[in-house]
Amino acid sequence: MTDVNCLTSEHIATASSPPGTPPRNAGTDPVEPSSPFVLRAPPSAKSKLILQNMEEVLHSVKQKHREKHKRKREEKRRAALLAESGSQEKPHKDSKPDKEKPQPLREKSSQENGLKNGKRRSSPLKCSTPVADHQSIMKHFAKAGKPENVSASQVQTSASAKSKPATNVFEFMMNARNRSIGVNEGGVESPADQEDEGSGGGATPQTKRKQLLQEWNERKGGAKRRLADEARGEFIELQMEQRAKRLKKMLTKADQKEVSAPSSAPTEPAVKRRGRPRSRRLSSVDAAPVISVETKKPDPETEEFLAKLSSPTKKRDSLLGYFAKVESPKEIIEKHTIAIDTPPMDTPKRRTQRRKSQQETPNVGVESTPSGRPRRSCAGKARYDYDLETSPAKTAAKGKVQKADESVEIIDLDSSNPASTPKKLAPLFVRQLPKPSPDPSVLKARQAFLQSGVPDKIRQEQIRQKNHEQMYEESYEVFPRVSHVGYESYVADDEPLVLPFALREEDESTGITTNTSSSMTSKRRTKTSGFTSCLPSDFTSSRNSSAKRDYAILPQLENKRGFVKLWKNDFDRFPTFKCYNQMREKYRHFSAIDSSDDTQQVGESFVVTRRSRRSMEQRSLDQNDEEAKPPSSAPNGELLFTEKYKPLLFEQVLVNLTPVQELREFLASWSGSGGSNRNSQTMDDSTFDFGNDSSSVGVNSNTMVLVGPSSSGKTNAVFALANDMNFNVLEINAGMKRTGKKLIQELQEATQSHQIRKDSKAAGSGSSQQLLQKLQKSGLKAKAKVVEPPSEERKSLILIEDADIVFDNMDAGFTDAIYTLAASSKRPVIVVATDPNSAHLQRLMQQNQIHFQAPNALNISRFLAVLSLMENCPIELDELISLYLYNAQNLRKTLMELQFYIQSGGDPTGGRTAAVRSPSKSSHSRLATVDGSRIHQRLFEFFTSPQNILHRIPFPVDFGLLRLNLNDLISNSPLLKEPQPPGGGRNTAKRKSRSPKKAWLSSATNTSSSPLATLAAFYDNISVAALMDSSRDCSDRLQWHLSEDMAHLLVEQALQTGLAAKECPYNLFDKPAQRVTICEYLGNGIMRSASAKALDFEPNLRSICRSERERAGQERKSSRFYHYLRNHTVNVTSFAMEYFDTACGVFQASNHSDPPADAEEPRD
Amino acid sequence: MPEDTEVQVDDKRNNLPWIEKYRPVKFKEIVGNEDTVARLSVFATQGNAPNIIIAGPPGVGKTTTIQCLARILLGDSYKEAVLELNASNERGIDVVRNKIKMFAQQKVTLPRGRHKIVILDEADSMTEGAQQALRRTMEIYSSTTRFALACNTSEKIIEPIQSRCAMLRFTKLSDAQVLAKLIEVAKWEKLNYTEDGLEAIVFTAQGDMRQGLNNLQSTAQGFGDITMENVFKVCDEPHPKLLEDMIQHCAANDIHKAYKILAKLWKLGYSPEDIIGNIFRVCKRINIDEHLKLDFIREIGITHMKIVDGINSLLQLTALLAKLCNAAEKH
Repeated sequence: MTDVNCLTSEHIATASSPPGTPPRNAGTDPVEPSSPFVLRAPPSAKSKLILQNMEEVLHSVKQKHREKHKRKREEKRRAALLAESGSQEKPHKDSKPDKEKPQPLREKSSQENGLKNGKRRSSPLKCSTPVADHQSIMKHFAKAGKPENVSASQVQTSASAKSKPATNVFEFMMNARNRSIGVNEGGVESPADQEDEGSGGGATPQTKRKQLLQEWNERKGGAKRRLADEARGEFIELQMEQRAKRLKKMLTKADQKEVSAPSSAPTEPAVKRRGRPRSRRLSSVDAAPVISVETKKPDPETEEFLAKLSSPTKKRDSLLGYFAKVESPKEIIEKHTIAIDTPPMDTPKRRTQRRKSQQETPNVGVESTPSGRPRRSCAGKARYDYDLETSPAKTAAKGKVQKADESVEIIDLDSSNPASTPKKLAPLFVRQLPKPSPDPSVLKARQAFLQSGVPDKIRQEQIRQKNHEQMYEESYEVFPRVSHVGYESYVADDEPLVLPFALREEDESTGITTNTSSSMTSKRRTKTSGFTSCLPSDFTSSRNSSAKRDYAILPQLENKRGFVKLWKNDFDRFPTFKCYNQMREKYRHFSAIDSSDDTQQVGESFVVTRRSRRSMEQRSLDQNDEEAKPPSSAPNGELLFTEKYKPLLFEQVLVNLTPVQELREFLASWSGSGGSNRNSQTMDDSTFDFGNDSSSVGVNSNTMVLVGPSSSGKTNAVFALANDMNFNVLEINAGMKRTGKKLIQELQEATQSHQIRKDSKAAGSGSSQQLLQKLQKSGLKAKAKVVEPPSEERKSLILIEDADIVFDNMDAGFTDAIYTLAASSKRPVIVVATDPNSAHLQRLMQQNQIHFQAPNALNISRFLAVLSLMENCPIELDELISLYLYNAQNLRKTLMELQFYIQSGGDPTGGRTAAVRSPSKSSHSRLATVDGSRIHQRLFEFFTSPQNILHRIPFPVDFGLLRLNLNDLISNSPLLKEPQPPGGGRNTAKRKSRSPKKAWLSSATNTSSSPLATLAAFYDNISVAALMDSSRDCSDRLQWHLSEDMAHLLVEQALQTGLAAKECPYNLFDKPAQRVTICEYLGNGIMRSASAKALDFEPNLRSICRSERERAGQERKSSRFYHYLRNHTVNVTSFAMEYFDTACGVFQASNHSDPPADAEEPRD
Repeated sequence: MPEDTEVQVDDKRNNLPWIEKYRPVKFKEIVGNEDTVARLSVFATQGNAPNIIIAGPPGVGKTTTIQCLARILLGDSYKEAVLELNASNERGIDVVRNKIKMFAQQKVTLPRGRHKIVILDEADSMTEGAQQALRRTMEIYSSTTRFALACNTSEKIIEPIQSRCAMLRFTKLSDAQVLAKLIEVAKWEKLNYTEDGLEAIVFTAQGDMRQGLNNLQSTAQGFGDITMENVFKVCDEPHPKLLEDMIQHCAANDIHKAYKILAKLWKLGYSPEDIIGNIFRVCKRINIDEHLKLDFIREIGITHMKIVDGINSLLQLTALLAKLCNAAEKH
């Protein structure tokens, strides 16, 4: 940058010599095209190299200048003959030939510019400019006059006389060049320029230059205007050149032998000269870009284009930048070659031929010969590199120089450069200055201003949120401590629980009595229009308060034991009493805890620790009669049933025993290897001997995968066993940030050491841990020394929950972390997963796997019955089974709903009025009651039937269920029975399904409204309903689907009026085994025909499924197709992967046991 | 029913939409699904409510019920102890892992048997990942925090979440229930109303209380009096009166008169979907022979299927009329 700076400043110096001296101005313009350019290059580049070069060159240059000037003076004299006047008159003279010849125009403009420049430019420059420069400028001016004259004469005088010498000279030049490598004039000039500049630059101090530059920048506006003019001139001149070229060709053809005196007609050769180098450049590799530029210029189109461009400075600048880019390397290389090659002999003749370069070529010659050559070349190279990299602005300037010396439109470029280039170059080339970062206070003020409109509330909210988030960031830990909620006494506002609005009698009975409803409708007609179901009574009394349903907390049942005794006989093979005792203990314990204040101590906990078990039995005998009651402040307690009644010891596991036992054996090996014999002592009364187990179970694998459907007790089993066998549980679940890195970090300590600090025990807690602590705190204080196990003996166990769920974007490396843990951990790692097909767990699953299954419905119902008894609300087994099955054997959900039902008061009325009935055919007898206390019912109904409008059939019609229930429904129909003997209903259904036709045809002929007709109508209706129903997609319930509505109403009406069924027993839970066909999940529209499915799609799909599953089992990341398939289950909601998995499961199972045909069988 | 105090504050919230203005604050004011609501009110006083999911169509009071429960259960500490997130809040995995979890860990002093409540409204719009991240959190902090979810379709709640909650299904409100509330509101707003006007609103509401109240308000503000004409001016539907007449004509086997009505409706520019829907709803309540009605409904259903399939020309509707007449003739 500096060198450019100095160049420009030098140029300025030359240009800014006192305004009074006209020759200097003239000199700047056309005569020495090169120097101004370089001088005016933007002050961006600073290269020491170039500076040095320039300084070296300086001295020699000054001398050369003097020589040059002498020569020039001679030329000047000659020129003076032709020229009309001196420098100051020139502009006038130039203006005349404007129209004829572009060149003069250009000159004029440039001269004007120069004048302006001179006037504008500041005085300090004057002081700095060396005398030599002045002289040289004077010479330039003189010279400048001459070429103009020449050009003028060239046009006016006849071509013949002048052309001869031109050709001669030209040939001479050619020869000279051919001797050397191709030489570019432009290149010759530029070094000269530099020298010129250098001479100026050496003298002037840098600070001044900078000042100057700044001043120039201020005058940018003037420069722009100038630019416009000059551009015009430039192109006119270009055209002139072209014309000249053409002329030259003609001349050379016509009079090649004529030779004229070099002095008289120098102009044409000059033109030729200019033409030639271009062709030469074409041949040379370097020149290519230049040519392109040149060829562009003469085009009329581009002229226009540029003319257009010339008005807005910005565009032109950008254009210039473009040129610069293209030309700069070439130009520099040219420079280089010229420095080496230009023979001094050229100079005299060239002088005559050339217009502009006359003066300069000699310079070059002189310069290059003695000392400068090698250095120059070096400098050129160096500069080349430097330019390209650092100072685009400068290269641009050079490019302009190059262009200018060919087209002799120098000044416009010059003038533009200092002012505009730094700013307007493409951003690529401009070195980025780091923006001064605004003062923080300023920023703050700005922000405050922006937020000044925001109300305080929002601002506070923001601040609070920010703090909150910060808190998250800081205080987050993988094993967070669970904070307890402290309770204060609370006075509940005891509102009477009155049902505000109950269904009308009429509403509830709609289904059953059609007569009344019709009479009602006729009544209704009188007052209202009757297209809604509103009754006149609804208008008169805004609220129907007749029916109140009171829900209150159930009273304590007194004789629970009596119930259990009665039930014991029914519950064969169910440990009724064991269950009862356990539950009672828990119930009492928790209600005691609930009732007690935190400060008050509760009696010993029997539930928690094994040690207390014997004493528990003793005590329980004593305390048998006293029943703890829940506190009045919180009659419902404060725990969920799922927490309250979950097993805390192995013995308390009542259902689903086998997998838990397996898990226990696995864990026993670890606890045995701990090396303490405490276990064997304390557990002497347990059924298992741990001493033996420790060696038998394979210790080599430390990982166990628990797989099973949700709520099958996987996690609870782990916690119960951990509690039983004295493990600490470090739990990782999906609710945590579980990137692999974090996991490994957090678990490093736990996995690599066998023991864990005591205080980390709390951190690794799940809820049961917390519960345990609570219990220990409250219950074990009294006997702490006896009961509490020595804390340092607790070992840790790593439990990874939800391992089959990996969020791709959140849990990076989670899977790898699991495998790393499994490989390196010295503690048992238990992985819990729901999906047995999860691809990334396959390797672990192959090692060690325990399958959990949903517990058996019968056992669960008994368990639930005892539980509900403990909660003072004995419930029918039927109801429990139905609910359990309705929830798809989800125990936890059933427990939740049971809690909801029981704690909100059970069934207050005890009557059952529902039109939709739970299965009537269940074989279980009613549970016996004691003391006339009621068995609660309607549990199932509450969770299944809609409450606002009573339907006979649950609202979205499930046609699979309907088909199942058809037998019962049809057997209920009086219309079908009439002609038949009483047992006929069942017969009809059976026959209908097989070969009904003949049997029915006979009977149908008899009666007018035959059962066959009604049945046919019924089936017709149902089939239409099914058709309507199939068109909906059930995924979105946001919209009310009319077709759904229609289908339901149609089915109901068909049952009610078509069959005249009084009541519709409806079996809700007994679903048939789902048929598994993959094609069902591939989108409906494509494959309609069954044969296509069976023959084409299914087998392929099957084989894909099978192979993909196998592959997924073997390699972790190759399950691509499997997942493709999974994604293509179009018509299934996004979460319903299980269908596909079951599909896969079917095939896999069939692989192992049966031929696949068996698995396909149910599909047909 | 809004209380007197609310009426005094009325001028303050004059500009509120009525669905907000009359949003129930107490269980008593909630209309519909009485069984469930009454049971919930038990929990509101006794505490220890389990995690619940309330599923049901829009406008039946799911959100209102949950908010009532939370407000009564927690009283003054509602602000600290309730975290309410709906679909407009971000509820990605991050939020579940941080915000909800932090909330669950927070210490709030509450009376015995009370728990902090996380309300996740429109839970079916939560991503699967977010729900998965929620599952264990629900369990671990169950001693301090309970969850209440509201959603339209329970199918979109993943199974593990469903298994941790008691599922309560709300259904569409019956017409009488909607009507009762409408009368209440009309009285509070001192509207002039006719019975058929309210009935018309009930008809347009289709068991959606929100829709009903909105229609009531727009009719009242647009025309003042609640009459059937005004209501159907606001809620532009094929007029049920006309349709009723049409079906009666069909039942009387008079296809010319029936067709005139249909042509008129068609000329008015109603879409065939609207027409067939209203025909169905009118036919549901129309006073004709039950067997005939059954046949009618079947025919309407078939035509509806065709229309849904895209064959929605006047011809199809005319064919429906012909079929209806044919069915009536057979009877």
